[in-house]
Amino acid sequence: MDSQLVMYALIGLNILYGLVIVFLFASYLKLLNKDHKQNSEQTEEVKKIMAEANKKTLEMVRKTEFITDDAKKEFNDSLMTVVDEYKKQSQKTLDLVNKELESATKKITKDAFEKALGDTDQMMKTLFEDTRAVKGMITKTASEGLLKIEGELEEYRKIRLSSIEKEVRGRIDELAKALLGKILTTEDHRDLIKQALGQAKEENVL
Amino acid sequence: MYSEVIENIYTADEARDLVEQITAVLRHLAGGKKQVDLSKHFQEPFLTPIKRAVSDIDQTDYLKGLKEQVGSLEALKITLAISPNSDLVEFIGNWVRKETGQNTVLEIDTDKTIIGGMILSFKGKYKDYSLRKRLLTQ
Repeated sequence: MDSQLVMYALIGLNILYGLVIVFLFASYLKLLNKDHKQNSEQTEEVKKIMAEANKKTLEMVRKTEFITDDAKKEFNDSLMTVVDEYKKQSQKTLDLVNKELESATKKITKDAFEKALGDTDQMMKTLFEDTRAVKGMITKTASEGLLKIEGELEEYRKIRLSSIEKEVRGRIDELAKALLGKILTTEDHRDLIKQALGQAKEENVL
Repeated sequence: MYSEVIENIYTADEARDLVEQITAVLRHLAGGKKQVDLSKHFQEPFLTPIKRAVSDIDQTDYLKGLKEQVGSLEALKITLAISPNSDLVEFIGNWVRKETGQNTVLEIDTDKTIIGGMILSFKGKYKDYSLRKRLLTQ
């Protein structure tokens, strides 16, 4: 920034210096015009001086170009410095952005991973619950079917046992009748049991 | 103290049920309760003698003792030709207690082929007093 100020100050001074020269030359010309009639011999000299002045003025004007080579170089140097600084800042910003991006990517990846894990976990839970529900349903259906079959079998068993018992009872009664001459009543059974208990007591079984 | 309860137990099944009921009450008492509503756990003919017994002593102490006594009753295994009704069961149980002085519980099996009488098994002894045996040995 300082170099730019110096450059502009120099340009300003050159312009001012040129203007002063032009002003002095114009004043001189004015003075010469006054004496023109009196001194015609001096005309040629004046022309020379004017030409010389013009030449110098042109030189001065050329030198006072808005941007000189030095200024251009200085300006370019400054510009390059600014560009370099900009590049540095841009690189820093870019690095920062990349870093943030990388961090964000990692975070996104981590979040996505965690979400995926969560989703998987949820899926496993759902699968487990579904499996359990299906298993429960199958077990329930199977159990109900089994219970029904067991119930039917039990019923059939009772009927068959009742039938067999009746048949056996009948044959035993026939046998008892044949052997004892009568069918045993409840009282007969009670007496037989009482006799057995007494005998067991006598024989010290009880 | 326990006899009023024990004299009402005739079969091994009744003894097992009573032990289970006592265990349940003792579990409640061990859980911090000082008294348990006995009518919710016991039925007659056991409820009245138990309630009478625990009126002046600790429920836990009494029930622990009763459980031990009931659990130690000797089993008399008998096989009959008919399925006995409760009167016949009580008759056999009372006869054994009165005639032998032993507190036993009956484990009753039924086998119609013995025709009548009974087969006994008690304290390692076995004896066949069935009518079938008598008829076969005649």
